[in-house]
Amino acid sequence: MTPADHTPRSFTLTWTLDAPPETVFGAWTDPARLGWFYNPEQPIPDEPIELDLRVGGAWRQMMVIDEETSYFTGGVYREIVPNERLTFAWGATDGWPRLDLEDLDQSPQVTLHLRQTPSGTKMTLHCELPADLPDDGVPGWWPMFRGGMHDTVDRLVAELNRMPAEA
Amino acid sequence: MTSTTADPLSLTFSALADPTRRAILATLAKGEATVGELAKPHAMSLPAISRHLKVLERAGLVIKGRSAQWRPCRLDAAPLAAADAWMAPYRDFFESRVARLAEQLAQERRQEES
Repeated sequence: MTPADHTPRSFTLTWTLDAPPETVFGAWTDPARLGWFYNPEQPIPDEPIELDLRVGGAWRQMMVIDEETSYFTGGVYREIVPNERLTFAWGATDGWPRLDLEDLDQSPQVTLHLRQTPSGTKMTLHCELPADLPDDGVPGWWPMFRGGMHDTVDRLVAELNRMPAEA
Repeated sequence: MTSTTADPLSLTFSALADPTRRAILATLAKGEATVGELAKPHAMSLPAISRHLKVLERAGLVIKGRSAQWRPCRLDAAPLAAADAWMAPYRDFFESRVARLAEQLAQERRQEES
């Protein structure tokens, strides 16, 4: 890894959740507790959530946009440290983002960090996007409503300021 | 034929890959500044800062003023917005979900308590 080659095609999201890390970890890894992952405004499919919590195992969850449009998402686990850290190649073989089981590095890599703090679990989600994600990586049905330019730029500048001074 | 044209998004991201350049942009986000002012917080020579500014200019992130003596640099946020838009669907996907996670955790807690 040469730091000079590192380009920040990545984003980090941080939340503090009012629950212990093991509860939060369970909500990501127990299929019976992944209901939150569905969009509340969209129908919940009959298709069960499949999840094999092992390195190399997959999580597959169907998302429904409307009667005619649905897609799979989820990921393939690459690192599992119970209640602390979860890394997965994000996507599904025939879903979004598109996942190639032969080349997991081509997919967005998501790392979830959980840390107990006095105010709850600090959950950090870091996502690295490969530079060569296909242009059609974002499906046409993706609702393209975006905030004003100011919002998005403020957010990116804030994001840049959060990055460590030494890459 | 030499191929020197990188796509704009790659130019933006490689310009952003350096911490000094990110610091320069963060300074310019507050308002325009001269090269000297931009160099001040960094333990770097003016030519070194100028090189970084050239990279940022090439990426369209920094615009230099016309006045010969005093050429303030200013930020052009449009490429940042394009970079942000490229990442937005991926980020929004998770951002829009976690509010639901917080709700579910609260619900689970209430069920346990009752």
